[in-house]
Amino acid sequence: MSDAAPQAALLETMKKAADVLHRAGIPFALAGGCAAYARGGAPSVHDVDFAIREKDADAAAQAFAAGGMTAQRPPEGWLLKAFDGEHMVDLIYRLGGEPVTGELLGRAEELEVAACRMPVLSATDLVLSWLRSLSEHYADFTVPLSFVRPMREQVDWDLVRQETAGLPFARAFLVLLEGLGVIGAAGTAGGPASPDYLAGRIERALAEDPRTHELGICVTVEQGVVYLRGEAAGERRCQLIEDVARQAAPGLLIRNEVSVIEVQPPRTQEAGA
Amino acid sequence: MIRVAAVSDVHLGPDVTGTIRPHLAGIADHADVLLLAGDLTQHGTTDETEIVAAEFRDIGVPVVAVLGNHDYQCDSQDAITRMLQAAGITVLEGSGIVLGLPGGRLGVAGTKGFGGGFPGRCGSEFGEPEMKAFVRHSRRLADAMGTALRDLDADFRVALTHYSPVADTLAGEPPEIYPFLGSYFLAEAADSAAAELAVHGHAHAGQECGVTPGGTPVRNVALPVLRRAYAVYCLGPGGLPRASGGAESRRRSAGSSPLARTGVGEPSSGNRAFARR
Ligand SMILES: [Fe+2]
Ligand SMILES: [Fe+2]
Repeated sequence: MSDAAPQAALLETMKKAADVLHRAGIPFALAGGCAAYARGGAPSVHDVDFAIREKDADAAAQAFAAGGMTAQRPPEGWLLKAFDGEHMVDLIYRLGGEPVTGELLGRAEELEVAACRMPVLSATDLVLSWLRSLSEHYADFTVPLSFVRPMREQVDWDLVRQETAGLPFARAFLVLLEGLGVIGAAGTAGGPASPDYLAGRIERALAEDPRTHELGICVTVEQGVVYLRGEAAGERRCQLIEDVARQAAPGLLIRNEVSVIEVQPPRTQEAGA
Repeated sequence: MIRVAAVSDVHLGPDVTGTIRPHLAGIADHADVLLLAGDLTQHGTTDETEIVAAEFRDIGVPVVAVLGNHDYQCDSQDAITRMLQAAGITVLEGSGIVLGLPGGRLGVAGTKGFGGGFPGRCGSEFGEPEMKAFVRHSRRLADAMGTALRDLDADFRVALTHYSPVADTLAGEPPEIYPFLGSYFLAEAADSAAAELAVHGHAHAGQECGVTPGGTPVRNVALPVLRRAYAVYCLGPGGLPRASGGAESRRRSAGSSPLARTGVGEPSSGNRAFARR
């Protein structure tokens, strides 16, 4: 797979296609695996994807033809394919079902890819494009996982959560990322939070929240599930402990194993001498 | 013989009330005094203190208390102290009291105490002002209790604290948090007065029995440790001899020290009598 020669040839095709689009004055941005590579991912590139607006598709096709690359519109209706010899370039104008807009391309950043500067989709837009593509027909988490890991710090995960709230496969993928510790739970201020940090945050909330002020509750986070263990002085306090933990870790499953201390009578009958 | 009942960490509040009261009827038949080792409230409010006062007032034996860290949460410790005093409960902080009991004069000196840790793994007054303040607070509270303890004109002396004087009674707690659970300054203070007993709370997951380097028996009476309304320890002839600890305790054991350590009437046959649960 990581054959150096085809890899290099594919990157040459990428540069050539970017040059064609650039010369034709067509707004574009690098997408897909090449963009993941540009943002720090492994150079295991199998295809070359660019995002363009649908209204630029015809002009793009002409530009590629003029550049000696054939271009055709397959029946899928959301992309244009250009061929550089045996290598293929996808010019996509509906990314994960969403139309490619000027705003999306405006959010792209100029990055250096294989010694060539070109616009690359923002990390957040890239992740959204992958998450929106997940479906019953394509539920492979391995490839997006390998893309996401190296660029997790560049992504606005709260925005990703918002934008994919109605997509079950995307939500499942986010749960996977949390369980693996790649990203923090919802509400984490950006960046990755390991389960340890999450447990620390919940413990602090239990100690400092005026509803609880509980110091002795043991909090662990395993596989995205928060376990609360320990003892409290009353039934209602067990419930409050759960409420405060839930607020500190929204969206995570809480297993409340806190029990109420049973007070036995003193063993006074044995007292004395 | 003096029978000392003790409990702590009841963490009472409007939602947790009547935990101990039903078990206090007839306590005078089994004990001469009740010690409360702090964390009487959950949030440190005066509302909760009303419930604490109702729980422990007029039980038929003197009640002597120190406050715990929970009782400080709302900065109302002074008001809480006044309310408890008004209910007939003696609240100690760097101070002591002598009770004339049928078995003799019992002196109790107390403080909330503070953390800092234990020899070999403890903080010191070094570095940042916050670190110095932390350790200094702990040392000052312990020093004040030590002075009060030594000044007691009594037959038996008990050191009453919320934080632990020793690591023994913390077994069961994560070792990483020991410096937040107690300070050896408190043990030093108790040993400086050759106290007959040191009673503390705070370490909910700890164990009941320990001993200071000087040989003073230490009892963690946190309710989650005792799992009963209170424990009773006997001081005086008929009780067990003091543990053989440091030179001080050996010196004392050689004499006719009247110290005793029996638990809630368990047969006085060694430390097993004090094992948790
Ligand atoms: Fe407590
Ligand atoms: Fe405490």
